[in-house]
Amino acid sequence: MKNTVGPILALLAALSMAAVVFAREDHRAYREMKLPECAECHIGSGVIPNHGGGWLKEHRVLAAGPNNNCYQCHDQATCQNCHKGGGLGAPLSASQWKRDIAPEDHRTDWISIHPIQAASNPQQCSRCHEPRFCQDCHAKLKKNELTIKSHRKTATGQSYITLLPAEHAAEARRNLASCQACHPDGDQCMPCHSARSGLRINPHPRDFKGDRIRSKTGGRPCQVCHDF
Amino acid sequence: MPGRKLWVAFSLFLLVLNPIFAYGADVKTQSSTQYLWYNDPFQDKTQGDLLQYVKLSATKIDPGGRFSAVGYGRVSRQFGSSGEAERGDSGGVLGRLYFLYMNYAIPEDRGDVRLGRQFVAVGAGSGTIDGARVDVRNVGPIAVSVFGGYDVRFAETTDRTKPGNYLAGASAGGSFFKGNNVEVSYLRKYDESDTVREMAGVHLDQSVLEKIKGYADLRYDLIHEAYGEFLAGVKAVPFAEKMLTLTAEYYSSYPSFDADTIYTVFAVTRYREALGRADWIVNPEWTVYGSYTRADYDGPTADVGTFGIRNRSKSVKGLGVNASVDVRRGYPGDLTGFRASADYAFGKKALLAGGVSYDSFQRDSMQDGFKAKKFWAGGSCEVRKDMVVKVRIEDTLTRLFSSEVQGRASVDFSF
Repeated sequence: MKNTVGPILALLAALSMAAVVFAREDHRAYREMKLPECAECHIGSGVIPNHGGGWLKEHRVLAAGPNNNCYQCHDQATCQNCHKGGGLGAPLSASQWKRDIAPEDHRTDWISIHPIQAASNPQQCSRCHEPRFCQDCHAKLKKNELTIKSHRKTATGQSYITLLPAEHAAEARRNLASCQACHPDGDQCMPCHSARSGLRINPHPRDFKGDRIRSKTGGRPCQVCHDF
Repeated sequence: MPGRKLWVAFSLFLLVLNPIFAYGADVKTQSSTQYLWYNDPFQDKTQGDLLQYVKLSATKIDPGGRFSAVGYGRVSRQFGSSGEAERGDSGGVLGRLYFLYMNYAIPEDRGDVRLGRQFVAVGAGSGTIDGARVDVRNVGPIAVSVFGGYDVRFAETTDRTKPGNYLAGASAGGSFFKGNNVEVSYLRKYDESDTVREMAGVHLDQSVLEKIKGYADLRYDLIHEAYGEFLAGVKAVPFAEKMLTLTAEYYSSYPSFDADTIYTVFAVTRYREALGRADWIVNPEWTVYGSYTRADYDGPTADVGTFGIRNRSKSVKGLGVNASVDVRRGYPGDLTGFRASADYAFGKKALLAGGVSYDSFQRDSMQDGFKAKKFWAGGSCEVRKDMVVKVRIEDTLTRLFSSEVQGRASVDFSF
């Protein structure tokens, strides 16, 4: 016991010293400054400037850390206004989608352009939107209104999904969230991919950890296709 | 129904405020009454919403100034529509409560204890909870956050919580050497008491020679035992006198789903991108930025470029100009876009602003391309010290409509 007290005290002392030495500057006093003024100080003190041209994309990593100091200049309305469409203090440049204020990266004619963005980084949309958000709109569309390549008919009346199943697979693997937007329960996947009936085509990845998923989730996603 | 819940929450908040007023707390209120009009593309008719936003903040509640309370929410009512009550098109009252919590600040800025609805974010994920969060910092090089509560899920019109849907997480991190940050985090999400997401996050960054910062960030999916997102990058400020920041990043991710859907067991492919960006603050008036991204969709690729300028004029005091060009070529479509806007401040009392947007695009699935255009203008005026009136209107040419006019008018109070 005696042998452990010394090292523990030394560690605590070192940690306290580190806290003082590496303490971060309190930014409350600089809240109203313009960004070029921030950069003057940051570059001089060896801190890489932030809030630049790519800030919309890169703020995630800085804002998520327990050592972040966002709260010194912003309250949670800053987060919620952008992530959840709040409109108190919205800038004049901000457009709107129905009653929600839209973020800057939602371009002109966003209804038509958003599939390009949605097919890009697959994590991007879900940072702000629940799957239900997509489903609410897509449920209002008529069956033939979407022009997803694998859903189009060929000259002979067959759908590409039948004629070129590999293309459907590649499209789905790249952008599975777009399938979920129109088929939230995955019912349309069942005739080919269920283990109970139909073509029984295995949709799982090569290194699929079925047992782990089953034990972690109580088998909820497994029971859609399998009997246990 | 959600509107009723919101009113109940705000009523409770006001009840809490009663003793606060009695103790002479510092209470600040921001209110915005807005009328929004827009075209519903599914019904092809103009609709209007009346919204009331309220943000309250009460500080110095106790003599030591440790307790504070903040809340932010809105109620809205739609006009000019019919049917589809579930999607908020019924003309009924809808509510959305963004946050409403009591905060206890631990002395000497050593952390906070929060109780109520709040936005939470750690490296492993983020969300909104009705619950508690404890942040401890400045007690050593390690900062710790722990939170848990009902998972609040925002839909198109409202917010929802229900028993069995929980969100919990923790993070710990700190600075162990000069210019160094290390963080580990954990997030678990439940749906109807089943675990539907379990993530771990790791973040490392290190500044070198006060000019270069390297960083790496990983989100690991513990249910599927696979990484969900990985980011590694370097930022550099190469010149002591010039405010030029260079960034190079590699990012990779997989589509991921909550484990209550069938989609969570499907095979998916990896998305990767390499990015180079420069941000240059030329002088206090001019800022220039540009980036190039090479995106790889496990086969098909895309090249994406952005260039933009910002000007805050000194010769014409009060004038600001922004412009940017975005070009994208490749999967899953091409886009050439241009945006420009300008604003002019008449002292601190009034502001006029306007802009144009142009996007020429063609998705892979489209037979022909399309050129969308948007024009917008707006202004704000401080009528009294505590009252600002704002108006904004825009007209957009879209694939669906030759003219989509929408706008908003608001009266904002701050007292």
